[in-house]
Amino acid sequence: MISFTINGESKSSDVDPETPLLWVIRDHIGLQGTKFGCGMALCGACTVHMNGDPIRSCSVPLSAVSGQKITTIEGLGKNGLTEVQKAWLEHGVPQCGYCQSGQIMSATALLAKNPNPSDDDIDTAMSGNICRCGTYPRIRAAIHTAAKNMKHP
Amino acid sequence: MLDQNISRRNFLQGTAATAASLIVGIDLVTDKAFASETLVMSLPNPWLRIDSDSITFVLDKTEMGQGINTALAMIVAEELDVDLEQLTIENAIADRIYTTHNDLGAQMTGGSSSVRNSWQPLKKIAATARQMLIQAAAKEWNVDPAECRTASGMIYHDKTAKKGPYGTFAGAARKLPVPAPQFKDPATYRYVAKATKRVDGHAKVTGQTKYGIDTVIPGMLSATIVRCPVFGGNVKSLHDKQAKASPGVKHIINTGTSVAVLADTYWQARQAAKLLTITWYDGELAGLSSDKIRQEFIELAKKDGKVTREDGDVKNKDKLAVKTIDAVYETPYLAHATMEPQNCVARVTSDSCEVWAPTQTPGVCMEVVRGITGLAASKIKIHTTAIGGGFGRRLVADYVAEAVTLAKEVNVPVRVLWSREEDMRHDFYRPISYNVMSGGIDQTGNPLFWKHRVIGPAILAQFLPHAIGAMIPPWMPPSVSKLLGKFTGFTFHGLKVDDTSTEGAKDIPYKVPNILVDYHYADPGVPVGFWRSVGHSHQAFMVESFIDELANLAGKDPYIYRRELLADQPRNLGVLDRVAKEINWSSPAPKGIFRGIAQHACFGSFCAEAVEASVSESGDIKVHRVVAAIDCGPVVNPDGVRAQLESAIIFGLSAALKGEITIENGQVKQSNFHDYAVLRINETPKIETHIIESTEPVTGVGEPGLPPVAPALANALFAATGKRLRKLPLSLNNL
Repeated sequence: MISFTINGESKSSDVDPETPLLWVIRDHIGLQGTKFGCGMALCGACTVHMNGDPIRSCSVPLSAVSGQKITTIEGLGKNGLTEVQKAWLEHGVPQCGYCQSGQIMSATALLAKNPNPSDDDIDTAMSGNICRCGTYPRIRAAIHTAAKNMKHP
Repeated sequence: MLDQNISRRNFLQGTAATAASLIVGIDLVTDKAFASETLVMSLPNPWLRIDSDSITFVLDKTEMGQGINTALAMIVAEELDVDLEQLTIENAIADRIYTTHNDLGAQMTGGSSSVRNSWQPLKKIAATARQMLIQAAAKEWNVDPAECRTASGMIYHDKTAKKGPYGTFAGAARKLPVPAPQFKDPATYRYVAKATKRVDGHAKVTGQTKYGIDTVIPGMLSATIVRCPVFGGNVKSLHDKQAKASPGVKHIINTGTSVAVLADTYWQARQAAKLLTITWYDGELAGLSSDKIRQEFIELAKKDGKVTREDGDVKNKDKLAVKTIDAVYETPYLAHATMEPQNCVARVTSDSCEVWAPTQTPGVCMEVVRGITGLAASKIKIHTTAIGGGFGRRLVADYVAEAVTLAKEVNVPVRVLWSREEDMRHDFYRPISYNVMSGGIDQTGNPLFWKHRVIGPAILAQFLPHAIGAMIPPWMPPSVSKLLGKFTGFTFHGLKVDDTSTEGAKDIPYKVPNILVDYHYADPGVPVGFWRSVGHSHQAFMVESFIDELANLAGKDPYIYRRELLADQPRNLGVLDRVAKEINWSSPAPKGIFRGIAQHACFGSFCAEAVEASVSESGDIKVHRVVAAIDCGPVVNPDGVRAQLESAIIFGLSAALKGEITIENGQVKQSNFHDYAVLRINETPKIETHIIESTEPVTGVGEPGLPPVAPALANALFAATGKRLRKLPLSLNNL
C-alpha cells in the first residue's frame, strides 16, 4: 500500500508499485487531465508536480511517490483560474489542447521558481514539452504575460 | 426533449421532433441541397436545435485543434443573433445527412474544406431560424414581424414592450411556412471577421476536455495489440501462457495479423504483452528497405511516366536553352505523430454497436463498423470525441476496426490504446517522393522549359478501397462496398495516376512556355495516407526550390524573378509581395542572417513565406524568423487563421529540419520522439502572420501555411552557404 497526496487529498494505492504514476492518476484515481503521449518522458504530455517540481508521470513508478505531494492540472486554481491559465486563454494558446495540461504544469513550475523568466529560461524549462499543433510562440507570450500579472495581479 | 440522435432515419419516421423544438434544415429530398441553392426549411434538422431552455449547434466537422468548432459556431451565433456562449456545441454522430455539404464525398474533415463547405449553409440555417422565431413571436403578440428585433437570443417588440427568449417560440415556429432568410448586414457583425477566442479554451486549460483516450465505459477492458513489425506480416506461432497468467489479463486473442492482450487496465495489458512469445511470417515486404525503394525509384525515373501536365513542347528545348540545370529532389516517408496516440472504445452487442473514436471521419467509421458487425446503420452509433491532433492520420479507421473486432469477440466494451511506438511504426505515412527535374532559361533569363518527373506511391490507391463505403449510397451492403473498394484500388493501379502525388507540381503558376510533368506510380507497400497538405507538402519543396535554382541560373533576385513570372497570377503575387514587404526583402538582412522566399497555392488558398536563417560554423541550422501572408478569401476568425498559419509553419519546419521515417527489413526504424524528432519551443522562430483582405471565395487555412516553409528555408540556406539542399530533412552536416 503506497500513500501520497494528490491535489491536497490523501490517497492510498495497492496497485503494482511499478505502475507508472500516470496510469495510477488516470485509471485508478480517475483524474484524466494528465495525458499519455510517449511513455518515455520525451514529450511532456504527462507532466505533473511532485512537491512543486515538474515530473514526467509516465516514467515515475508509483513506488517513487510514497509520502510525496502530487499536483495535477485538476489541482491548479482551486479558486478559479491561475494566472498561467488566464494568460493561456488571453493568448489563445490551445489548439487540439492535448499537450496543454503538461505545458501548463511545466510553465507553472517555472514561474514558481523564476518569477521573471527570459526567453532562454522559457526555452530551458519548456523544451521537454512537445506540441504538434505548434502553439510554442503563444506559449512563450503567455508565460511572459502570466509572469507580469503574477507580480501585479 | 429531442433525442440527440437526429438523423434522416428518424426524420423519415417522424419520431424525433417535439413541439418544444424548432429544427431548421435542408431539403432532405436532394443530397445536393447545400451545393445547389435550394436550401429550404424542414423538420427536424441535424445542425440546429432550439429547445425551451437551450440552443444546440451540432458540429459535423471534427475539431482537431484547427478551431473549426469556434469558426462555425461564430457563423451560427452571428446569423441566429445569439451570444457565442449561448450555444451548446455538440459533436455530430455518424449520419449520411452530413455528407450533403461535404465536398470530400463523405462525413469527414480534411482538405482545408470545413469553412469553405459550411459557411453559406450554416448562415442560411441560422438566419432562417431567426426569421421563423420572429414570425412566431409576432403572431403570438399580434404585432408586425418587421417591428420586432432580436439580440442575444431574445425577441423584442419595443412599441408594446414585449419580449421573450427564443425557446418560448420554438414550438410555434416549427409550424410556420419557411421564409426566405434575411441576412445581417456584415457591417453589424459581432463575431464574423473579428478575432474571437476559442469556444473550448477554458476546458482545454483546465484539463476537462474529453479526448478519445478519456472515454470510460463501465466494465470495459483495455487492449494492447502487438502487430507484426513487418508490414503485411502475420502470426506464425504464439505462446501466451505466461502472459495469460499476468495480473488483470482477461483475454489473449490471436487475430491472425496481430495479438491482442485484454486486461482490466492498460498498464496490465502492456506488461502482459511483453510476456508473449510470437514468431511471425514476415511476408513479402521482409526485405524492404529505404535503400531498395530508392534504387527502384532511380530505375523508374529513367522511363517516361504518365503525363499530368503538358504545355508547349519540351522536346529539344535543352538544346535551345542558354543555360540548363538538372536536379534530383527527394522527400522521405513521414509519420503524423499526433500527440494523442490512436485509440478507440467500442461496445458491441448482438443488435447494436456504439463507438467512441477520435476520428476525422465518422462516415468511414460507420462503414467499417457495418462491415465488421453486419449490423444495419440504424443500430450503430459513432461518437466523435475531442481529438488530440489529426493532421490526416485519423482519416483512416484502422484503430476503430480493431476495437470493434475485439469488443465483438469478447462481448464486453473494449478500449484499444496504441503506444507511441505502435503509433510511429504503424502509421499511414506521408508518401516518399523522388523527383527528377530539369529546366533551362533563354537569353533573357526567363524559363524556356521545365521538366518534372515525380516517382512515388499514390495515397488514393490505398485509401479509396478503405473509404469507398462511406461514399456510396448507404443502402448498399458492405459486401458491395468491399467489391467497389477493390475495384477503385485496381482502377488506380490501372490508371497509374493520383492527383495527390503531383498536386503542386502539375499546377505550377509560373509563366513557362514549355512544361512537362509526369508521374510514375510506384508503391513499395508501405501504408501511406493523407499528411497535412498532402502532395503539396513535398511538391512545393521541389517546385519552389527549383524556381530558385532557375533564378540563380539567370543571375536574378529570387523574389523579383518570381514576381515577373507571376505577372498573370494576382493572388500568388499578392501574398509574395506582402511577405517581401514585411520582411524588408529589398534591404540587407541582419549580419549573419540569410533570407529565402517561397509561395504556394493549395486547397484554393494562397500563401507565401519568407524565412530568416543562419548557419553555424559546424553547419547547424537556426531559423530566426518566418513571415507569412495568406489570401484565403473572407475570414471568419482572424485569430484562428493566424493560429493555423503558426501551426502549419511549425509542423512544416519539423518536416523540413527533422522528420524522416526509414524502412529496414520491411519495418519502420523509428519508434518514439527520440529518433523521430519534432520541433520544440527552443527551436521555434519568431513568426509573423499577415492576412490579405480578399473578396474572393472563402477557402481554408489548416494546410496552406505548410508547403512554403521548407523551400523558403532551403532557399535561405542556399543564400547562406551557396549549397543547394535538395533533400528533406535539410542538413548541412552530411554534405
